[in-house]
Amino acid sequence: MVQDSLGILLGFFVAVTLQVLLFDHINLFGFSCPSVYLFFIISYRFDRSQFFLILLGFLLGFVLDIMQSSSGANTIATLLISFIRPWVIRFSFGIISDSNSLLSMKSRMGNQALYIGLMILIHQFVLQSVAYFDVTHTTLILRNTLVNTALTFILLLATLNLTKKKN
Amino acid sequence: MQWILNIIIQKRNLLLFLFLLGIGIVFSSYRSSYHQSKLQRFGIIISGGIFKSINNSKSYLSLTESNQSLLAENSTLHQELLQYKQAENLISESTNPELNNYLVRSATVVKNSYAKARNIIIIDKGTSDGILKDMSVVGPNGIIGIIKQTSAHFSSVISILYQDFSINAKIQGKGAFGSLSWEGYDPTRMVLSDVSIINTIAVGDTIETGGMSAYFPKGIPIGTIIDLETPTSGGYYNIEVALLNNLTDLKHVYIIENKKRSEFIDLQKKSEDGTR
Repeated sequence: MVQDSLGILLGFFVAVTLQVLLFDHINLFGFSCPSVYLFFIISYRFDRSQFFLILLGFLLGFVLDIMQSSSGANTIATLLISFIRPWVIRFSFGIISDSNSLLSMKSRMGNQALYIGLMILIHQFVLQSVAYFDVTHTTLILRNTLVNTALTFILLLATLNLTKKKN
Repeated sequence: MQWILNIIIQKRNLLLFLFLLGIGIVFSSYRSSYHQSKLQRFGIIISGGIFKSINNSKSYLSLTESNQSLLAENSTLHQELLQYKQAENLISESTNPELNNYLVRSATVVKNSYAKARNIIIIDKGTSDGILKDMSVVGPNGIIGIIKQTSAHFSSVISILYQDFSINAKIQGKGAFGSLSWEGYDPTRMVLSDVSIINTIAVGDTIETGGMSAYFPKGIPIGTIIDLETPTSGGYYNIEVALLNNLTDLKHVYIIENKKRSEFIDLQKKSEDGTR
């Protein structure tokens, strides 16, 4: 139990550190920045407490908002995907998945990609909508959502494959 | 009573989500309030400290490049200074600090953002270095932004790449004034609006600060016109401006203190009160 909690704490710390120090500086095409910290929420075991995940999702977004001097978009977006994650899991894998962890899952790659893609797409759409908060910037919101989703998706799939090999 | 507890236990995830969402929305909406200032000041101290350490290591690795850039900038400044002295014969007067309205301090950028809707830059100078809120910040080739918040050793700067922020600007050598703002698409482009079509302007003209506010001194270069549209209806040009400063690669900036800013603001306030 203690080892489990320490693992989550370490994952949280690594996600924040890598995002702030490394991935926030990528700025592909001058505007695109991947949200690789989502790996922490996506890879959180399915059988662990959702209550705890909602708290962690909120804290993760809040810490990133503070570190990026942004206005709260990360907090709301990360909190929302932590809350809706069970529905996304059911939609992607069906009622019962073959494993409780994405890291040891043997389901078809398509299901895993659908789950990761949906989580990133919803997160990015909420993040950009809250950041711009103006309907006149719909094109910009959609452009940033799609490009950031694609970039984050590629990086998260690569991270997932690397982590799986290690296990 | 029991059923209320049952509902709370059953719906605890939803209740926690709604509670935290409320906090998140309040956190977002307090963007310009006391609470936000406190949180952001804390954020500046933390992220400023971390990014300063990283920046120290990074700048050590790029010392040669930085030195070359500083040397080039210094030589241009020296050349301009000499030209002014020669032209106006102000050698003795320019050494008298009382005659200078503006005081310039240099700072190093420890964190720079340019890919968001509202971009903030963090610099390594704060109140202990004499930096105060609302001072203007310029780079080697033109304006950068305005000091938003300060802590003892760091300050945050509202970048000109910040939606809802506009700057009074004019076309160099002409009397045409307008309002310069960022549309959020490209960190190298801005839009100059409210310039009347009665003015004759052309692609390639230089845009500089208009000096009609207490923030920026008059005549600091901003960019050049790269696209110009004369509307079929309405009396204002649509002007696209390419910035002279590369805001995606900032290392050193200069903070300008306008010594007569409070006098300017007092007079402006009195004038406004008088017209009511």
